[in-house]
Order: sequence, then structure tokens, then C-alpha cells
Amino acid sequence: MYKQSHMPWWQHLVLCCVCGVVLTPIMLILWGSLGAPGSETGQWTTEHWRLVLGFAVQNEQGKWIYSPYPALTWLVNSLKVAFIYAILATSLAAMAAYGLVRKHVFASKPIANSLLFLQFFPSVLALVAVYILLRKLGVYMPSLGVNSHGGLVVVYLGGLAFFIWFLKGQISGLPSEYEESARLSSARAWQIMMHIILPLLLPGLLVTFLISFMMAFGEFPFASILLQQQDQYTLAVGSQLYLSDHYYNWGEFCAFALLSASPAVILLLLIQYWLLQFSQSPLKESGYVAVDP
Amino acid sequence: MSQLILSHVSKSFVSQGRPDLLLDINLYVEQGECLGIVGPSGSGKSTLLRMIAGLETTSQGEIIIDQTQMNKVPVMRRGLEMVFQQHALFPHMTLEENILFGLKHRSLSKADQRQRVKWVSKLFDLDGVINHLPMHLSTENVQRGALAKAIAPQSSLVLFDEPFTGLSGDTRSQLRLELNRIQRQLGATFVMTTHHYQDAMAIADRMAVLSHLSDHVMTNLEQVGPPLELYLNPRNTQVAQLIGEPKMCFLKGALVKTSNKLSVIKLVTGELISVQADTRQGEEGSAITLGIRAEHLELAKSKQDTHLLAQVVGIDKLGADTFVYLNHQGQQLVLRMLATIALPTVSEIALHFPSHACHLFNAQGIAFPRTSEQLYL
Repeated sequence: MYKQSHMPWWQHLVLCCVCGVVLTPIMLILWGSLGAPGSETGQWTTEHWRLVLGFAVQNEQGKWIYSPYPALTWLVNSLKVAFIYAILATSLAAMAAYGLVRKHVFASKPIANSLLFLQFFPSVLALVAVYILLRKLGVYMPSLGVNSHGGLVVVYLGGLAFFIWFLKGQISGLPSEYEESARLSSARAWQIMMHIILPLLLPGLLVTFLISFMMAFGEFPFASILLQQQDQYTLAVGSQLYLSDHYYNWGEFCAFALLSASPAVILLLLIQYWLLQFSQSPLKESGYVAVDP
Repeated sequence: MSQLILSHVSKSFVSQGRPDLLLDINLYVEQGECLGIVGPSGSGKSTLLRMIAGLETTSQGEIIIDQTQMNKVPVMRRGLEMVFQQHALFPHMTLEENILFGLKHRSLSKADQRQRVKWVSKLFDLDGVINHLPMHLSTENVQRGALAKAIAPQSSLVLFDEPFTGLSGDTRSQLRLELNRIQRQLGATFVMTTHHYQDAMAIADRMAVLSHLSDHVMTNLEQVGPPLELYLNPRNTQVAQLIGEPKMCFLKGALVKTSNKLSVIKLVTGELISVQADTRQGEEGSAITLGIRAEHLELAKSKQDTHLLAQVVGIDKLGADTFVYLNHQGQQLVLRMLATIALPTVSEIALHFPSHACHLFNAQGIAFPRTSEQLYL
């Protein structure tokens, strides 16, 4: 006799249903990208993938054609913008939050509250103003102007308030005794930051990095207005070209969608792994702390 | 070797809209001395320590360590160590890394650092757990680790903020003894806060008692002196209540006969009691408070001995001792008896107040000098 599973059968059933619901759309997209039977051609094919990945494909007349869209360039653009933004956003938000919590900044409370208040307004409201500002800025600094990735990152950085608030909570949850104790041990400010604050704050920083990365990776409104040449597009902007008024290229669109989802999924898995590693790391007050009787 | 002087030190939070905490604290801590600061929660013990360490600003007065005025000297250059009540160890480092972190930033060679870690881990019996994270340690070992971390740099001045919190009975007294031994061995100056007077009694050379700062007082440093002196001759009712377990019991009364040796008071309930105290400063007929500790109250042996009759409210049998809680017309009394003495079975017992063991306080709560010689033996 084999050992009985600890989970009752209905829990398996529920989990299977959940998996089914989550995975079905992805499977359908995967089939679509492989030219599943039932589509126009009714044949399994890898030509959508080859086109998206930048390879040539022979058409019915035997001519070698390339995809009209530089999907891989867009992927690189998206990764570039998202990584630069995530790194800047995490470090800037961490510094701002640390300052607001630990340093006795004048009127730190009103500053923090107004940051949150400003966040209530959708940033798209300022789209036109931002466009005009960037056009002016581009005259003096082309790398930060319209149709540049630098400009896009600068615009995204305007939405830091959420991350500042998130990290503010994390930092104020960190007992200040740790820093004081390090100061008593004659550690310098940068040593305290490297050895005490950053390791203790790491889970919060990783989450900030992940969320800001995803945000910039999938952002559409600003990118679609500010980026004007096809080779500057990010994935979100580029994807709409596959589904124009004239023709719907579902196969390539599906392949493209899977390609653009992959970096985020890989990053998520990596960060999830790290987070698990640090989940034992005691951000919270752990049980050993003596309680004042 | 470090000598610490606090001169007219005050801490006020006026700018933050909170009441003042410390007023006009004057303390002198000798080189190699252990000073215990005792006081109720919120009396500013920890703040005083943090001011000495430089983690809090000093509103008024001077903090002098080894003849150097330290008010403006930053934390890292004060050359002292401090053990925090909580969060004394970094949670992401093992015990060894924690201790090393405290040594890394001093001019010590790597070999010396290892040597020090070995030394303190032996001293505090931490050999088996030195590679553990704090979260995997018992409360006792966390506390030992925190002490080890503070001792390892061999600073000449070490501050302890409630170093024994969370420890119980046996381990507490054992750690107290160890700390005492280490202090003697190093000749370092220790300043320790605690709200368990026993901790300070056990290892401090002198004790300082802080109280809540109230209006119209000159200072909230109530009394400084050797532990036994504070126990025998508390300067006022606050010190008397803070030192001793169970707390000293008070009975209200009036002064009947002033004397330089043996005064007589009349309780509000009518009984006359004579007390060996010098009450020439007081006026006959003025209100007075009689204080007596549980360990000094006695069962009356005869009718003549009886000072008053009290109702038994409850009995605590603690093995060696038995505490009898009594009520005398609304006033509480506690009597400590050896467990070997048969418990009174009646609901009302006759009490005797030995004249040498009673304390007298005036209406402001200030003690009259005691004249008995017997307690000093």
C-alpha cells in the first residue's frame, strides 16, 4: 500500500481548476503563435516566431521576407528603459524615504503627505504638459528630449511617490537601535549603510525594484506619445502595430506577446527565489526580543 | 579607566511639546565603579544613558568623561560602549559577526580581533552558539551575546540599558555575578539602568534613584548612595517604595512627641507607636507617614507588645517565606514570616512594630533621620 496524500481529493481538484483557468489563455496564445490548426493556414508552423525573432521566412511565391517590425530592438529598448528606471527609482526612493524617516527634515510630514496626495491624480492628466516640457528640454539636452529613452525615464521618475511611501514604511519598521549601535561601534555612515541598513532592507528594495521594473516595462500612454520613431519604440508601443486597421497579424502578435512577457516572468522568478532566501531575514521583530515586564 | 561626571544635566522636550524628562542631574562616577540607575518606567533612565552615549542631545548641563566635555563630541569619538535593551544584536549577522562588527572599526589587527572574539565567547560561555543567528538563540544567549559584544572592545566606559530584561531568576542572578566579576577584572566603569532594584543592589557599587519629574521640584534625582544605604535610609517615600520587595507599607498618622532619639506618633486609627527617629525638625501634631517593610513587621508576642490588630486579606506561600497581606481599616500592610512559623489561623492578627525598624516621613514625604544603630550591624 502506498502512503496516502495529506491533501483531500477536492483540494487537488480546486488547484487543478485554478491552474486551468490561469494557464488556458497562455496555452491559447502559444497555439496561436505556432499557427495552430483552425487558423487561416491550418498548419503547425514556426514562421511567426522566426519573423518575430528577426529571421527571414519564405512566402508562397518563394521570396524571402523579413518582419516589417524590429521586435528584438523593441525588447532591448524596453529592457533598457525598465532596468535604468528600476535602478534609479529604487535608489532614489530609498534615499528619499530614509531621509524622511530618519533625518529631521523640516516639514517631513507635510512633504510625505503631499507626495501621496499628488499620486491620486493619474499622471496621464499631465501628458500634454510633459510633452511640451520635454520638447523644450530636448532643445538643450537631446538625450532627455522627446523621442529619447532618457526623457522617458525622467518622466517615469516623476511617479516615485508610491515607492517612497512603501519604503518609508519599511524603514520606519527598522528599529533605530541598529544604526545607533553601529554608530557606537565607530562605524562610518557608508559602513552603516552597506552593512546594516541595506541588508536589513533588502526584501523591501527587491520588491520596489520588481514593481518599478514591471511598471516601466509595460507602460503605454507616455511611451506612445514620447517615442516617435519605430526603432525607439518599447514593446508596449510596438505591439499595437501588429494589429492595425488594415490587417490583424494574430500569429506574430501572439509570438510577440509571449516574447515580451518572458523577461518579466524570469525576473519575477529570480526575485521570488531571493525573497524566499531572505524571508527568514528578520525585518519584523523576531521572537527573541526581550519584553519589558 | 574612565571617570564620568554629569553636571546639572537636564533634558527637556519643550520643542516637541512633551513634558520635561530630566532636571538638574548631578552624578559622579568613579573610575572602575559600577553605578546602577534605578527608577520607574518613564523616569528617564534610558534617556540619561543615551545622553551619556551621545545619542540624545543634552538640553542643559555638561557631560564630562575623563576631564573632557563631551556635549558636542559625536557618538563614535566618545570611546564608550552601550548595550541596548532591545535589538542589541544585528539580526542578519551571526553572533561572531556581531562581535566582530564592534571590533572592526577600532585599530585592531585581524589576529587581535579573533583573539577578542575567542576571549569573550569563553567569558560568556558562548562557544557552542557563536555561529548562530540571533533569532536561533535563546533569550539568555541573546542577552549574553549582547553583553559579549559590548565587552569585547574593552572600552573603559560601558553603558547597560536594562541588561537583564527577559531573564528569569536563576539565569538573571548568574549573569549578574558574571558581569560583576568581569567588571572587577577589567576595571572598567559601568553605568547600568534597571527597574529591578535587585539587579542594581547585587552588582552596583552605588545606586542612583530617579523618579518621575513633577512640577515644583528641583531635580528628579532622588538619592545617590551605596545600595544598602538606600535600603536602610531612604531619603523620601519614593525611594523607600522603589527599593525593597514587597514595597514598603505606609500608615498615616500624626506626630505626638518629637525627640532626638525616640519619637512617638499616633496613627489615624488611634494607636500609639514609638519610632527611633530624630524628629526635632517636625512639629508636634503635624501629619506624618510611618513606613515599615514586610520583613521588619512582627507578630506580637504578648498583649503588651501589640500595636495594632489587622485583618488577614490573603496569604502567599513562597516556600522559604510566607507573605501575609493585611488590611488595617483600609490601609494595606504586608508581613513576611519564615515558612517554618505556623500560619495564623485567625482572621485578625496582632502586630508589633519594632521601634528600630520603622521609618518616619513628613507631610512632604521627606524622611526623618533614623537613630537606631541596630540595622547597621
